Amino acid sequence: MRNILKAIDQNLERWLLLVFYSLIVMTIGSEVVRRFGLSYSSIWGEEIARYAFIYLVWIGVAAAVRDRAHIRIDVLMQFLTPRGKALIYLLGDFVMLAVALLALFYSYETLMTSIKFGSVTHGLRIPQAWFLAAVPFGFTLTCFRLIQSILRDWGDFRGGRPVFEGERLFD
Amino acid sequence: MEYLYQQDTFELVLGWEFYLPLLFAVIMIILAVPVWAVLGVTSISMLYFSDVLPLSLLGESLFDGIDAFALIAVPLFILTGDVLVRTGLSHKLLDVAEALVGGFRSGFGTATVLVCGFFACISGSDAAGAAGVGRMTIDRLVEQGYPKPYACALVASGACTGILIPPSIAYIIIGLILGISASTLFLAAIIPGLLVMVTIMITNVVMNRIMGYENASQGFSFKRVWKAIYDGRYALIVPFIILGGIYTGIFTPTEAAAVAVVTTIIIGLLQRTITLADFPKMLASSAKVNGVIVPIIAFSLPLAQTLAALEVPQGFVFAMTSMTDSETIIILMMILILIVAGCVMETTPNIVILAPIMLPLAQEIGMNEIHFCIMMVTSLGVGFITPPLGLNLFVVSGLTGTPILKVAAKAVPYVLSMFFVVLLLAFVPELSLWAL
Repeated sequence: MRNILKAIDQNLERWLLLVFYSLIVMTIGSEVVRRFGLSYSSIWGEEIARYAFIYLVWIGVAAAVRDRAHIRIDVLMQFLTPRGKALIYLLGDFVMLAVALLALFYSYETLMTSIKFGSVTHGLRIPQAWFLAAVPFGFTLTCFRLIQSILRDWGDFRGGRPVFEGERLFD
Repeated sequence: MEYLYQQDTFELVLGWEFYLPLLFAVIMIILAVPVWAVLGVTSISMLYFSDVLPLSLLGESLFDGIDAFALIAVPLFILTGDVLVRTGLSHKLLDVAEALVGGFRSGFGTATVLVCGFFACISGSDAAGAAGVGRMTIDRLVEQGYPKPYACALVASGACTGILIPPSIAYIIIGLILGISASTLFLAAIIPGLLVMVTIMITNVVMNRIMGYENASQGFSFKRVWKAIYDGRYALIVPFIILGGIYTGIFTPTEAAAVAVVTTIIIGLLQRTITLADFPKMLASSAKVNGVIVPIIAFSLPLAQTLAALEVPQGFVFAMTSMTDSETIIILMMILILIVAGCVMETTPNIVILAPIMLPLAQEIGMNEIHFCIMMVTSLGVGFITPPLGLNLFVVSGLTGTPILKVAAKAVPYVLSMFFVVLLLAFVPELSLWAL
C-alpha cells in the first residue's frame, strides 16, 4: 500500500500528462491522415484534441509546481541565505495557493452551472462538464502539490537545511 | 459620456483600484513569486476592486480562454525541439551548418547561429533551442578560443531566432489575441526572422575581428557539404514539411506541428536513437514546459479584458497622440515601451496584455496590423537576452554555470544589433508585408 502511494506521489502527473499528450498527437495525426487518405475529417477529432490540451495545461501546472519549474524572477535569490531562500519559496507557494484556491472555487462554480443547465459539446454531444472539470481537477492537484511543498520547505526552514531549488526545466 | 471617443475630450482617470494591484504585482515579481501567480493575483484584485466585470469571468476564462485549436501548436512545437535533441538529429543539423559556413573566418560562431536558425525552423520555442544548441556548441566554442561567457551570450542571442523565425509560439499567441491567422503571420515573419539571424552572425564576425577570439579555419569543400547534407537528410526534411505544409495551406500550424512530431519520432525510432522507453520522460518534460507557459496566457486574459473595460487602450492612444503628432516619435516610443517591457516581464504576458493596448495606437497612425505584430514580437525578442528576466540568459547560464550577469555583459553588442533590426523593421514595412 505504501509503495502504491509512493508511486502515485512520484508519477501521477507524469502518467496523466503522457496519456493526454499522446491523445493530442494521435488525434491530430490521424485527422491529417484521414483527410489525405479519405478526404474526410471528423467533427470530433478537433474537439478531443482541444479538450485533451486543456487537461494537459492544468495538470502541467501541478507537475511544474512539484518540480519547482514555474518561471519567476530569481535575481534576489543569489543574495539570500538558505533560510532566506526558504522564506521566499514559502511566500511564492502561499501566493500560488491563494490563486489556486480562488481558481478552484470559480472554476468549480462554472462546472456546476454547466451541469445544472446540461450543456453538451458541439461535436460529440456529450456533457461539457467532463471537459470543464479539467480546470478544477488541475487546481485540486496543484493545491495538493503546493501543500506538500509548503510542508517540506517549512521543515527545511526550521531545520536550517538547504531548500529544494527545483529540477531544471531543460535537462 | 458620448464624447468618449472624441480624442480632445477623452481623459483617462484611473484610481487606486488600478494602481494598487499594479504596485503589488511589482513587489511580488521582485520577491520571486512565480509569474502565473502574480498575474492571477493582479487579475483577481483588479476585477474585484474595479467592479467593471464579474469575478466569475475568471472561472470561464481559465477554460474558454485556452480552448483554441491554434494553441495546441504550443506543446507540439515544444515537443519537436525536444525530440530533435533526443534523437540526435540536432547534431546532424550542426554538421550541415559547420560544413556550410565553418570554412570562413569565425566559422564555428557563424555555424552556431545558423544551427539556431535551423532549430527555429523546426521548434517554435526559444528556450528549448537555447538549451539544445547550447549543450552541443558551448564547449566547442570555448575550444575554438571564445571565452565562456561570450560563447554563452552568442548561443543565447542566436536562440532568439526561435520565436522570430516561423514557426513560432509568439506569433501563434499574438495571432490568437488579435484574431489574425498564424499562417499569415508566419509568412510575414520570414524576412524579419532571417534578418535577425544574419545580423547576429555579422555581429559575431565583427566582434571576432575586434577581439580575435576564433582563428582556426576548417577549410571548405563541396564534398563535405554534400556528405553532411546527405547524412542530415532526415533532419532537413522536417522544416520542409512544417513550413512547406503551412505556406501551401495544406496544414494548419497545429497540424504541421503534429506531423513534425510524428515524423521526428518515426525517424528517431527507425534510426534507433530513441526507444519507446524514452517516451514518458520526453513527453513529461515538454508537457511541463507547456504547463509553465499556457497558464500565463490563461491568467493574463482576464487582466487584458479588465484593462479594456477600464478603457486603458483608448486612454493610451489619447495620451500618446496628445504628446506628439509625429508618427516617427510614436513608433519610437512604442518600441521603447516594448523593449522595457521585454526586460522586466516574460514575452507571453507582454503579448497578451500589451497587444490589445497598443494595436489601436498603431492603427491610429496608419500602421498595418501585421506589420505591428512583427514589430512587437521582434522588440519583445530583444528581452530574451536582457537582464533581469532574459529567459535565454537563464537557460545558458543554468546549462554552463556561468553567472548570468557575466553572460549579459557579453550580450550587449547583440542587444544593440537586434535593436537596429527592430528599427529597420518598424520603419520599412515592406520587409514584413512584401509577401502578403
